Parts: sequence; C-alpha cells; structure tokens
Amino acid sequence: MSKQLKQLGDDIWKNQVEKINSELFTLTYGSVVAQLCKDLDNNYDQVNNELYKMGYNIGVRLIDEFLQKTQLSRCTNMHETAEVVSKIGFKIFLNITPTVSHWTADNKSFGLILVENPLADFVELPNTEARKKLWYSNVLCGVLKGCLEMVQLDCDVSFLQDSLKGDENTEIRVKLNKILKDEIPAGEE
Amino acid sequence: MSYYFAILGTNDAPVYELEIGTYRQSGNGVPHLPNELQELEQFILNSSLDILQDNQFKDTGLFSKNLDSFYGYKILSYLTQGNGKFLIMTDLKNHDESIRQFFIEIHELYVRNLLNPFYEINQPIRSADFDTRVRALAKRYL
Amino acid sequence: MPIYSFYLISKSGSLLYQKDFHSQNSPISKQNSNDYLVIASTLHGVHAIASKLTPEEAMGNYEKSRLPTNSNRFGLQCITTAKFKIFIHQTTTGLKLILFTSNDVSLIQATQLQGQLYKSYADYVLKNPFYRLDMPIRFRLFDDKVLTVVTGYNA
Repeated sequence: MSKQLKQLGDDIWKNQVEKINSELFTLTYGSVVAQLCKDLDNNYDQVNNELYKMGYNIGVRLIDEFLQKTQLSRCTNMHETAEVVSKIGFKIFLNITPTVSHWTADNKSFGLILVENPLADFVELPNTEARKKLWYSNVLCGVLKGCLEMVQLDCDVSFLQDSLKGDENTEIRVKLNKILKDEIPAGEE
Repeated sequence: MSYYFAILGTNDAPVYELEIGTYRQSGNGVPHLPNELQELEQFILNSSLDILQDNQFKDTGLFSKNLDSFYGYKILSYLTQGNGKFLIMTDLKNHDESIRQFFIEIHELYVRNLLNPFYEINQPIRSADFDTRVRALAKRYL
Repeated sequence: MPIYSFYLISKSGSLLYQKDFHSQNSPISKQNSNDYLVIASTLHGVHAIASKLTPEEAMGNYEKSRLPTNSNRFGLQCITTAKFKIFIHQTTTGLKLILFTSNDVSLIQATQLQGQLYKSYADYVLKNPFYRLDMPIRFRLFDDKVLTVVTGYNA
C-alpha cells in the first residue's frame, strides 16, 4: 500500500506537475513572511495567525487539485490519511516526503517530520523573540487544516518544533478531532 | 601580522567588520593592530573607496590586490556586481592569492545572507551564524 | 456525440455554473435561469436519495462498497431518456459535475470528459485568487476553457 502510494506520488510529480524555480518560491514566501512581520509590528502571534489563515484559504482550494490529479477516494482510517498526506500531498506540491511518526495510542494523532523544508532555505530568524514565537512555515499547517476539513476531517494542525528555532527536528502535529459526518456528501459515507 | 576586514553596503555604509590575526606563520588568529591604527582603520578603508570608485568602470575584474596603501599596510578590495564592497587592510605580504580565495567565499556567504527574507539590504549583519562562518573562512585562508 | 449542457453543483446543492452548448437539433430547449436552478437542486436531491438506496450488505463495509457492482457509493451516475442522457459525477469534496449528452455517449467517455472539466475547475476557478468558494462562477477564462474541452470532444 505504502509503496503504491509512493509510486503514485512520484509519477504525478514527474508527469503532471508544473515546476517553478525553488529559489523564486522560497524568496516569495520569505518576503511574504517578512512583510507580515513588518506590517504587524513584529507581533509574531498575529503573524502566525495570518499565515495560518492564508494557508487555510490555499488548502480549501488545493484539495480539489489534489483529488483531480490523484483520483484517490476517501481514506478508511487516519493511518491511510497520514500516508497519503506525506507520500502524495507533500510530494506533488513540495517534492518532499515527511516521515510519519509519533502515533498516539488512539490512532488519532500523528507527527509529520520534515527532514527538509523548502520554505525555509536561507532563513535565519531575526531575534530571540521571533525564535520563541514565530512559526515561520505556519502556512503549511493552514493548508493541511483546509485540505482535511474539505474532506470532512476536522483536525488540529500545528507545529510542534522547528529546526529554524534550533529544535532538533521540524515537526507538524496533526490531531483528528472528529469526522464531520453530517457534511459528508450523500453517497460518500 | 593582522587583518582588518570590512563589508560595506551598496551605499558605502558599513554592514560588517572584523579584526583578525593571521593563522599563518604560527599565528593564532589574535589581531595585533597598533592602537593608533585601530582608531583609524574605518577612515583608511573609506578613503580608499575613492580609488575603488575611479577604477570601478575601468577594471573588469572584481578583485584588486593593490587598491591602496597606508604606512606599510596595504588595502585589497573585492567589488561585487551588486556594488557590495569587501575590503581588507593588512600588513601581510604575498598573500594576495589566498585573500582572493577568501573574498570569493565571502561573496557566496554575502549572497546567502541577502537571500534571508529578514535581512534588509545595507543593514548591519548581526547574524551570529554569518560571523562564525566568516571566522572559519579566515582560519582557512588568512 | 454532442454534449448539450454542463452543470456544476456545489456540495450544498447550489448551482455554481451552467452552460449550454450550441448543437444542431439539440433535444434540450432553452430554459430560463430559474429552471436551471430547479434542475440543479432536483438532481442534487435525487442523487442524495439514490445513494441512500444502498444494498444492506454494502452498508458500513468499505471494501465491498468500493465495488460498483453491489453499491451505490456514487449515488446516481447516469439517467437515460429517449432523447438524451444525464451523467452525474460527484468528487470526494462533494462537487457535482453534470453533463447532458446525446444518447450515444458512454459512461467511460463521460467520466473522462468530467475528469478534464474537473481539472479546468481546479485550475481556472480554484486557483483564481478572486474566486470565493461556493459562489457562482463567472470567469471568462473558465468559460473559454470549458468550451475548448467540450468542442474538442464534440469535434
């Protein structure tokens, strides 16, 4: 199963995805974050929020692109969801494959460890306050939140650690709150 | 035997400076610049900028090994295409080639630093990481 | 194998987009805009009802319900009349793509075309930063794209 997903992710990345220069991408995202910090007077909590909202708006749109390219149907459990997010989602949009780890006993919460993070190339956080509060790549959490919500998985998504801050890894935590049963389109239960 | 190294931004404002001794000739990297020279070093480098500007559109190379001199100290320069200036003042002789190598590596660091979205051009470089890397390069080449 | 009309219906059943394509002796007469809304919401309701008619043994059994033979997971896929066919495809997010076609179009062909139209939707609607989700779609680029896809198919 996991191997098939990897294969599918690789194929789509190779054949169906438009690619852009990664430095242009990194710098664009970088100037967005830097400008947000400036506009919000370095209120990093607020910057995190804005990034999250931006990501959310991307996510609710991106999911259709994802489904169209992959032709996947609904996942049966969170383990499958985690694999799909990592091996296909991250692969086709960012060309990285985070490691899925740290499952909780109830199988509802897992971590995605980003070995490399294309958003954060060249970045060095400006001061200790930023190092304490700013989740530089918080847009990713928003995207995941938006995507998962559109397929009726109500999740909490947040960064647990970030190597930009001097942490050991970069880890995104995904926690399933509930499946929005009422909103599942008829025929998809 | 010591070096004074400075990076000046596109508007000639200083963005980074470092005093460092040589690691050659059994040096240990501690600078031995005379006091009176330490007080003057910024002036000396800045005054040599005039020559640099005169040569800017004459020379095609980025590196100049005999830009200026001041009582036995000579000044070497490296001008990036984006008008950033790297200057070194030293009393060491015959080390031009390794200083050139040093500048080339610094150029890469300088560009990487510019790519950091939180760095604004011509602002002082306060990154500790940048400083460590420059010192490591100094150890290797100077 | 002409395509007569194309509808996009949101998850909640509202009509997002409707387009009639010019075709000689189309059996579908021109409707007024209110009728389009009625058609859209009716199909939405019928689709929901159809999907509830799932055979007992496939209920709650994911593996079985994946098999199209004994399940109604996709609700309603095709309605055939004497003069035309209606193909309905629902995506995982709940978007419905509906095609009115002539009788000689097969389910496979329709699915393929719906796939292309889905791609156009993902590209030209969702990636348009000024599009607000679940609002009616009025973009010339999308119009053009739909027309290209459909005429490419009609030709």
